[in-house]
Amino acid sequence: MNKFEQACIDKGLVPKDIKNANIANAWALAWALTLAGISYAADQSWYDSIAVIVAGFAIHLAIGIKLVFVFRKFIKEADELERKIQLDALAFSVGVVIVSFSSYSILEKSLRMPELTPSIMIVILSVSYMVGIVVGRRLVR
Amino acid sequence: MNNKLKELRATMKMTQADLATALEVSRQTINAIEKGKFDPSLPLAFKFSRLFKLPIEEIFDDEESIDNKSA
Repeated sequence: MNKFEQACIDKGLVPKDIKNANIANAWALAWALTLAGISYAADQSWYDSIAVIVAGFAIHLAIGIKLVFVFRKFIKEADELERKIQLDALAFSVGVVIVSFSSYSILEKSLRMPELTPSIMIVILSVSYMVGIVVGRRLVR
Repeated sequence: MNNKLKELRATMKMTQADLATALEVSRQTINAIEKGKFDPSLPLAFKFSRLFKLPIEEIFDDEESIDNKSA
């Protein structure tokens, strides 16, 4: 057990939750890296055949699907307070994304603002999810 | 929801960590329940009941039902 895991356990977290969270984080990192790498390669026109494009797409999709199931397992097996914090944070982040995108779409059409890209959605989702978790933990402290 | 967890835990000379280990939850969960900031699930309430050998309603106090009775 490394120092980080021991520090988490000392704070009262369940070892199984720490393990599942680490696995989910590793898959999320792999997903983000493949998205960035494949997108960068496409921007640089590195793909010279349809087979390479399909392979890149398939790898990213497969990692994404695995991430969904790993995250589902983490939520399903989490300690019940942790599960509540995570689900509240998820609800908050989905709400923030929907409200911010729908509001921005009005500005986009009326003021001809730049179009929102999926990467911005992922950033807003991630940041609001982290904020939700931090606030949720503070509320039950 | 009010509860007697802290008193019951004290009578059994258990720490929050001991109780958390016995019930397979995190210490934060025990702490949040004791402070009334989180209501346990029914399976966890039954675990408390079995551990303390008391009915659930003697451990947890539903304020709403008390208000309804007095109204």
